[in-house]
Amino acid sequence: MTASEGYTRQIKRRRRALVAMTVATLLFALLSLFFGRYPKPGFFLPFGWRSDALMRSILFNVRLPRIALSLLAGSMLSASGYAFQMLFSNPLVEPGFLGVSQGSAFGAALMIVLGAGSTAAVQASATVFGLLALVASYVLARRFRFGGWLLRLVLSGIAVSAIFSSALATVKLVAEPTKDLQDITFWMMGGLWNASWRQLFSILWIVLLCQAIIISQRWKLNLLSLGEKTSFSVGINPKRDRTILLVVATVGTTLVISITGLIGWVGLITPHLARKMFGSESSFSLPASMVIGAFFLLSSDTIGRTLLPTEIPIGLVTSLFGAAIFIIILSLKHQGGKA
Amino acid sequence: MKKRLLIPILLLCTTLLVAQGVRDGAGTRHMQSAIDANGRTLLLDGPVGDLLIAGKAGNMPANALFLFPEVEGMHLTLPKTDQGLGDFFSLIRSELDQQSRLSQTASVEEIAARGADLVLMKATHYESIAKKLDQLGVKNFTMSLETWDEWQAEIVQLGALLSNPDRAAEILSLYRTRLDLIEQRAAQIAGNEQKRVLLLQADRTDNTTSYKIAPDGWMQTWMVETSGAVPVWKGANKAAAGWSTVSFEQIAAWDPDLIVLISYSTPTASYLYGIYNSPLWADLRAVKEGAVVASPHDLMNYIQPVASWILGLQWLAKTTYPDRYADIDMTAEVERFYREFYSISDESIITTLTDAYSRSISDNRR
Repeated sequence: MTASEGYTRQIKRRRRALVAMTVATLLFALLSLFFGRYPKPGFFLPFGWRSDALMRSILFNVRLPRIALSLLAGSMLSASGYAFQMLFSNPLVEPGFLGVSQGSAFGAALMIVLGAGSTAAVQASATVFGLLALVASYVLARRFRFGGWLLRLVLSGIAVSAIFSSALATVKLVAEPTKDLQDITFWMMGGLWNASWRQLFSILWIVLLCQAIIISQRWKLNLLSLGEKTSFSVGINPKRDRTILLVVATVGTTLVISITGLIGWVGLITPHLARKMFGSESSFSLPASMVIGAFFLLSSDTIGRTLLPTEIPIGLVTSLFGAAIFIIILSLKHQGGKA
Repeated sequence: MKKRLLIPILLLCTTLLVAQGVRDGAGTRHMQSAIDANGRTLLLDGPVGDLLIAGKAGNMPANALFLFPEVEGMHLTLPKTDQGLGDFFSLIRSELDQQSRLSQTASVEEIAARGADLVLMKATHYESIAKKLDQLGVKNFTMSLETWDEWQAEIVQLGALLSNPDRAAEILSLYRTRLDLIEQRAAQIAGNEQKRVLLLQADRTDNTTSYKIAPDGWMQTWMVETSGAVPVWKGANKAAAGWSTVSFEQIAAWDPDLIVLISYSTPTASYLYGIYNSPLWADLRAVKEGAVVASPHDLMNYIQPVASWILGLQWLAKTTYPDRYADIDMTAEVERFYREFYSISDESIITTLTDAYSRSISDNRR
């Protein structure tokens, strides 16, 4: 078998695997439609749904928009995490590491405390402060006079995250305990219990556009991950392309978390899993990361809404499983290294 | 010579010591002593002239304090006590309206700088405020007031602290009379006749509404049980220390006979409109039967551990079992409550409160 045939076979194998993963995720989405608390906790096939108006309403107006939102949010957070890791050539980077999540949370909290009643105002504020945090991290990293680029970036991200965390804590301190504080706490822990068709459609088109841009530019992610000089030498404009992709990834992330609150680990862990399965080249690992992210968030939310009578904040579930997967990945890598 | 002088000196010293002892004894007799919610014994050597209430949820100790007539002679410093529906304390004591309120997050130094004779606060502030005030030598007293048992114990202690045990006994007797009536009739309700009730705290976050249930140990759950109904959510929020969000489908799965909506910061009726006009809620049995109701409030919601919880209990019993409590006239009860518990005689204040109560439940369909 020639190298070309081997490569073609590998591409075919990866394509089949990606299609299988996508189909499995969609099947799981269909299956999760029958998980819930009504009429009894757990899995239930509602054979009489045509005659049960309440069951019908729960299936199509409660569970379906929630499942759709978790798929959309999971894939977007993963795509952003993947883009960030490639753009900064750092597998530990995700929007949260560069202060974007904390900045968005602060923006939303500020708007809540200021009494903004509209979804658009909170989303706009979350987006603006998320972008501001990203710019601050980037600018600070360039000004730091210590260590290499990656270290400086991580350090500046830690500093910016800390500043926005502190600002968020200050907002919480002055927040009205019976109302605003509860809203902000929701933000901090994340949750999809308020998912509705209206909420889904309020972000759907822009998030899909962000995803389309990232997917269409995935070959540039490969080049940009090689560094500024190399990417410039192969004919792309690294500054412009990096800025466009960063802005697109940040806007997508902040729009998602303006609806769902802060959801950790999805953007960090799924690109690792995808690269482990499909290699570091973006053609397959980026869409695979998005499929894994959608599956990860959907399964976390299905657990969160089914396990107990009260809602378990989704951020808690993703953190628990994300950390466990992270430990497993690192352990496997270590064993591989030994061998 | 020296020996002759020694005898009078000894006699003088003895006399002085005895006199000191008598004076100390007299002081002990006038000292008020009370045990707070954290089990500390507080000694006060005179009446409280200047009292400060510190920390969040300050309206709860303020509620208990205003039941005693001694509050009239006190200089008061209060934190924000308006939950969002208006300030009850400013209504019954107008000078509080002119006063700037202490921040709910005021530091211990700021509290100490006010120089109050006594600082009153919720027991939850023991670590953050009370212990530090102890170190600064500022007298302070904590109250929990989260359950009826705590109300009984702590009203007695507050009465002791204010040297008015008779009023404490009178307050508890007023509660007992009302509570006995509810308990006696609730005891006659057979198990299969008990209504299944769901209390939901409605909370609007960024244009979407979430619904929350109270923990088992909280007064809200006890109130539903005491009214003779079954709290359908009991056991679902056992571990939580606060309200927990529940999904619509969990509410549908419980399928309660009666849903009572609570909001502490906004008029509850606004949530009622949302539910009755929602296509999602339309198929719920309680909605079809008009059995989703707004909880009553005037300037504070009654379904919470403030002094007016007894009104909340009476209303809950009457709303759940209208036939069994047909003789309870709630508007008259609200009026009587404020006259008897807070000694309010100003008719305009009474009218303000009863009107606010009537408005709060005017959209209920039962």
